[in-house]
Amino acid sequence: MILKKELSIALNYALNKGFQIHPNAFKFLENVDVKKLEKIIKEIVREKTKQKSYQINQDDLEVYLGIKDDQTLQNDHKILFDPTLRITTGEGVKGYNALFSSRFNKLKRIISDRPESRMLKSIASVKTAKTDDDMYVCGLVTSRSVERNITKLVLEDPSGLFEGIVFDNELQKTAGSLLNDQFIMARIGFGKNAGFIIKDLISPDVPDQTSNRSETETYAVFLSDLHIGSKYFMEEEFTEFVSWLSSPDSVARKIRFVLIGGDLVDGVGIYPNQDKELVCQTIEEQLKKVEELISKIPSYIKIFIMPGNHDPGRRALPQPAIPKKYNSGLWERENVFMVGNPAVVSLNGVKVMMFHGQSIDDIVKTTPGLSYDKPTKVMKHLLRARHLSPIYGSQTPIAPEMEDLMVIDDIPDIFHVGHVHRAELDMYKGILLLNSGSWQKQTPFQASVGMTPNPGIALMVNLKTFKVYHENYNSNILNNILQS
Amino acid sequence: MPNYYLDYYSNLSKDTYAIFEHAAMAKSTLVDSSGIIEPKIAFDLADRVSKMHDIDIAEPLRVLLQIHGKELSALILSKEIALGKYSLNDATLEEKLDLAVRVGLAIVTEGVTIAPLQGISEVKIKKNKDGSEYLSVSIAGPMRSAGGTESAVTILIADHVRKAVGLSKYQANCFDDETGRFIEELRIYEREASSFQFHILDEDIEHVISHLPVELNGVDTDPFEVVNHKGMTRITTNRVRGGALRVLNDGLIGRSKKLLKRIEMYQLDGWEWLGDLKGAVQTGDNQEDAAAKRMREVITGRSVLSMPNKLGGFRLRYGRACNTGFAAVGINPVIAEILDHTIAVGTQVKTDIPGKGATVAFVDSIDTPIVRLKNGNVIKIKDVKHGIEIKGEIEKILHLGDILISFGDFLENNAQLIPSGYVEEFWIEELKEKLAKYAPDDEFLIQFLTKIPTLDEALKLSIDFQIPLHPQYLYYWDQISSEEFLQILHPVKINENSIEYSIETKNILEKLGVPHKMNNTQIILEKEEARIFYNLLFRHEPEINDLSIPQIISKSSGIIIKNKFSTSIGVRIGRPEKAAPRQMKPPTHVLFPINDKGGPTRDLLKASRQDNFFTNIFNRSCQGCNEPSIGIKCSKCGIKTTIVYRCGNCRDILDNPFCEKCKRKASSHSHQAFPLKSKLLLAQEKMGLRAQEPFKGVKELINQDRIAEPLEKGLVRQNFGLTVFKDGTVRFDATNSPLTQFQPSWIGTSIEKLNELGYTHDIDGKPLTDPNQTVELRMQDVIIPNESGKYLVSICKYIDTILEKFYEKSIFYNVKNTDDLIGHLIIGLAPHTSVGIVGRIIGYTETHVCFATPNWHSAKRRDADGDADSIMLLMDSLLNFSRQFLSDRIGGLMDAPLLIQPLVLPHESQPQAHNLEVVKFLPLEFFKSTIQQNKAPDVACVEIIKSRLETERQFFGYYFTHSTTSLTTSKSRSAYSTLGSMLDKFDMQIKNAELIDAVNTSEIVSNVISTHLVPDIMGNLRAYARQNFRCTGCGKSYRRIPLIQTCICGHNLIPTITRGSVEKYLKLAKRLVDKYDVGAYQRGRIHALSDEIDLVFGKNKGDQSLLSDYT
Repeated sequence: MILKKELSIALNYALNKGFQIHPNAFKFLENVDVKKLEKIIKEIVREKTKQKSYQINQDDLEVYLGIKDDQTLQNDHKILFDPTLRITTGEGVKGYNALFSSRFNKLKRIISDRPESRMLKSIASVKTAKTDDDMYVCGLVTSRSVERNITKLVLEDPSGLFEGIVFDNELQKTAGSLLNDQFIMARIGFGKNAGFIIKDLISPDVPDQTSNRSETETYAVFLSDLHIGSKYFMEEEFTEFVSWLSSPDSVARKIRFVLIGGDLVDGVGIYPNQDKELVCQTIEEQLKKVEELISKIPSYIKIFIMPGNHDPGRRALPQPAIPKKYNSGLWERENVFMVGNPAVVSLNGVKVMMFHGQSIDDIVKTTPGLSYDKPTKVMKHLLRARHLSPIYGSQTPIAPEMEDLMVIDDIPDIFHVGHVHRAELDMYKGILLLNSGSWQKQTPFQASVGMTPNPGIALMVNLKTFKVYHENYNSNILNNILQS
Repeated sequence: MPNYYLDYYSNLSKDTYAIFEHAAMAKSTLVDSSGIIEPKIAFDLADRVSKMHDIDIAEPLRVLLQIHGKELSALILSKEIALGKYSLNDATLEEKLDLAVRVGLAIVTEGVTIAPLQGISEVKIKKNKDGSEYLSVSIAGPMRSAGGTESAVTILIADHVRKAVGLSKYQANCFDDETGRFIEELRIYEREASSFQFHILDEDIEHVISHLPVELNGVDTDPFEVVNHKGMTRITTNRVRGGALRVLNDGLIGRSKKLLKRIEMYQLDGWEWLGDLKGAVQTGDNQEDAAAKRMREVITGRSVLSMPNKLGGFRLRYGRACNTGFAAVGINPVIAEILDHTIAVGTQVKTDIPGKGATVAFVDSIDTPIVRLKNGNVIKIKDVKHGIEIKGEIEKILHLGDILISFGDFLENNAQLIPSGYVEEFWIEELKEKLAKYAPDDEFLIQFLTKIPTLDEALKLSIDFQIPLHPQYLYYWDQISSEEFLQILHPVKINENSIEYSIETKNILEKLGVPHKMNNTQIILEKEEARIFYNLLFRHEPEINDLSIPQIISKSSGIIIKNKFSTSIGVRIGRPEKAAPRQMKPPTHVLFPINDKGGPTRDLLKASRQDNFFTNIFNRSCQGCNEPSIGIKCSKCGIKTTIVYRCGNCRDILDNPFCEKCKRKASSHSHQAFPLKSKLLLAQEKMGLRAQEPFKGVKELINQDRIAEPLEKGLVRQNFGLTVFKDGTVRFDATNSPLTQFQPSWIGTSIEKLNELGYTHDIDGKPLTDPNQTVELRMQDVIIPNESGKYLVSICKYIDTILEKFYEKSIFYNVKNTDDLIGHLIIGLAPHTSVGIVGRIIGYTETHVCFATPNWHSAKRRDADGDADSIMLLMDSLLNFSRQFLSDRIGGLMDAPLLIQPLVLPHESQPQAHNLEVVKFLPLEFFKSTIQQNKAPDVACVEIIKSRLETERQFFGYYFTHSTTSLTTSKSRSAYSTLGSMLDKFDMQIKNAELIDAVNTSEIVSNVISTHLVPDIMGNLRAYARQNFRCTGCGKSYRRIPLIQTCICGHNLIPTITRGSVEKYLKLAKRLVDKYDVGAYQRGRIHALSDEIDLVFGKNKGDQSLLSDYT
């Protein structure tokens, strides 16, 4: 009989490796789909070999087949920050006055941890100061320009404008990478011709730190930019990945969290003639499809969903969660948590800061040495500036909130960004930086601007060891930068 | 050349010189800021090229041109220049090559455009990575004025001279990924900056850049940066280089087939690879898609009149009237009347066939619309008068009637002919053929060459001579199905004088275009219609089979029925017609700089009240009076002034513009005290005029030396209600429209006056005595809008005043009214060119267009596709234009009369003017070719100007096939330009769409939503959250609100975008998506935007439900 044959091949494999099989397990195996049988046995053998335990019993099988949840794995979560309900929305002048005051004050508080800050003076006061000593001022960058090998910076605090010149070559590089409207502290002195010379530039930055860790080897999956509803959404690959989540794979078995960093759907009317690139013409249809796909994820996995620039709601930062009116099903699922952009969640004590990454566009455009291929470099800029979207007035809309919710108050353990469709990893001062790539094939638009995404890679982090694993569903192996 | 043309041309030359001399005399007084007449007079191409580039090549070029034609001459001459034949001994190789490429391009572009001067930024010798030297050509934005093929020929010329002087080839990608840069840059440009004529493939870009033997480089044109290919060794900018991209896209790749032909013809080596290109690709899947796409680009407020391939739309009619052709199409004036003047003469329309844009002209001899009235009756409108009478009763326009398109336009666009419907001209040609074959002298038949037969006659002709039924009695039989035909064959009742149908057949009868009456639920065909139906359908019962309906009827009735319908042409309105004084923004009386001192109106009077008035101006001063001067001679004491220069480095005062000590240029202008008050007083006294508030100057001068205009000119301009353009001239813009014949009654000029101007005979050679005779328009004569005439009269008065009081010479015009202005010379100038073409005013029309011969428009390098060109008085351009006023920046010389061309010769026109048909009748062979759907260039039986070029008849005898009795309608301006708000315009657009059967309203609404409403709402919503702020006091603008929360001047700041501006169209959009069937996608977009607005601003009136949705 064929059934028997398949089973005996699988069992022989285990027996040859020196395993014993408990009779209960044997009975259990008879009911398992033959196509998966060989794979399951091989996986179990591999896992058990590692554990140096050479008996396969019913319990093992139940765990691997998802019939039995591994109760020892910790899966606590806490939403530490979500802008959705904190959005108060000022209007016009009043709102923006409040926003930038808030930005200045919050960041000044952050930088006050530094010893130099004790010497900080207001801009108005340094202008009339009569001293030969260096002084410290801080403020938001109003403009930066380079002329004949000299960089000119204009900073601003609530007392007025400060204009200074950077001569030093090394410092010019730092000055050149400053972003408009970011917060900075400067050491300054008087120059020969009455003007100010900038002698040092100090970013708020993050301190070196040891990160929080999970007590158990629980895994979290980091995804973003699914673009469901688009012709180019890799539905087949994504479905395969979702079914992998409930497979007996040893990593899959330990996954308890899935984080989706925005651009869940392709949206409608995001770019001209989008209707021609959509398979689902309305937001409702697109989100329905999301629900279908997500419902296949085992219910013991907690899913956090954040909006991106393609999702419904509002595009100005900070973004509230995708409104319930477009799909109440998602909101009502017990294992789904809808959060705004940006958001901070704690997973078994590990702080994950999620941000879709809209500001990357503006930063790449204005900063020398940055490109879409290396999004983690941009993420470091953001951490140094302690702000997720410093540049005002460029492509990224920033809403006139009464409080600047884009300031990085809390230092995360993991910084999760998407938007640019390039999966990439890096570390910065103990923080794991991670761009989660995408699940959308290269679009004609991306091709036309020479953007090469590496879609179809799922990144997973062991929250105890911070080791990163990945599953690659992209047939084009060359696109996998993680292996290089 | 006929004798009267010899006289005509010699008079034009004589008059031009008279004006020139008078102007020169005035200029020689040196009271002005320049002492010479600056526009140069150039008679022909060779003259223009040599004068524009200050190189003495006119004679050799003339010789070359006679033998070789433009392009080959350009190649030969540029090679000679490169080898140093026309340069001074100390010229460097780079300089010679630079001149060679520019002159070559100038010859190719006929010395009319400014592409050779400013389209080429620089020509340099550079090194490849291996050290070999190659030639690099840097292209700037104004290259656009050269046109696609010509701009690509520039690169051919550059390669030709490169080879001549023995430089190596350019090696692409030897430093950086230059091919990749071009691909990225081109796509960014297409998306962010502007569009190209063609769409091209990435692989073609790669192929071209990697094979080009010379470097195609460029200067940046738009503030958009590339992302991935920055900081390259040989490409010094990170921004997009529009000029270079255009040469690549529309030139090298888009016209690769044309270029290849030239390359073969001139036997140029090393360009074989061009043959591997895919070339221009249609953006859609096929050609039809591209045309449909053009029709879809609906603009809010600009109506769609007719959609392609739809019964009831404008029916294509081949032919030309005296006011069409050359990209002007003819429409029956009734249409304008019944559509509330949605269109007027000169309104630009976009058509799908034969392509591109066209302007509207009115021709009343073509088919009129068929309409359904509110009472259900269907009638064919007889004429304009009838149309106006029933206008209020119209419920639906079932058939729009004809659109007259000239064969020449098909030829020009290289288009395929579309089968002609069976029109009157077609019938006449068939009658002629019958006559010639069988009965050359049959008087009964001959009469119908000029007269429409009655129905009885028509039936008799058809039966006796086997001539198809006359189109007058045809319906659109070819447009109904056999099921529908079957219904028509079964009326309710056939009476003696009428036929009755049931209401179910109404739709079919409307399709057929059969006029009928409604009597309750009965449809009644009366009189002629009933008789036609009876004779065709009910005398012998038709047998329904596989044949077409016309064939079925022909068979049963014995009367040949031809297809009346041809195709419907998609027509949507583009730009409205334009006739208006050209004004700077803001309008200016005099080019004198006053910074912010004159307040927001830039008022010189206000500025002059300041105690210490300082301004940045040219360092010209009178040593005697010790004060600054604008004129070369001091206006106070009359002695000659001096200019000083100041070195920016050592601050020494010099008497020439170069500091020997510092080896650098010294500046010719400075921020200095200027006695504006006393100068103004003096000027007012001299002119005898008082300046009125506000007397408007400019903020700052844009020219390199900061040379200002004498204040006197501004005073006189203000007095006559004129404003100045940036080059010192006063201009009037009007849409171009072609005209080859006119009737004196149309242009308001008396017979006597016309006789004086040389118009003595009409087109048939009869003496001109009656205002309704038709006369052929002379080559350079123009008929301008009435408004323009009045404006020019004011300019004449202004010129006379400054001649008399400023230059202190005799007056020239003494023109009191528009009648006096007849016969005076103007120049016409197209915006991207720099050659003014002399024209003579012979009359006025109540329209917004400048009527002139196609040859004249063509000399300006324009056709009639809806663009407006400027008109200025010849004397004004000579006296007041100065190149010194123009910016030396790229594009600064565009749109300025650097050269004046006094004579227009047909053989020197652009090829487009030569593609004008000049026949009285389109021959039968032509109609047959349309049925065959031949390509227009393969049809040789229609005489065009091109075939006359070597003969005397290139000057006269341009006939037309369709007559018209008027050029205009009861209104000269279209509704678009008279309606106030966008909403009113949009309302009209919807009203028109619902009125015209051939237009689908939902489609229009959907298009308007996606092309206007959504981008507006979305754009403002995005812009809201990245907006600038403005000071309420000083107007200073802030990129971000400053932390001090006020302007530096202490005033409050205000937002530039408010909730109101974001929501402006929201209500309308919501209403539209609910009322019309625009699809789920469109509806979803609007509702999502509405939700987003609530999320950004909070819900109006305390309704917070959306936000609380989250909990």
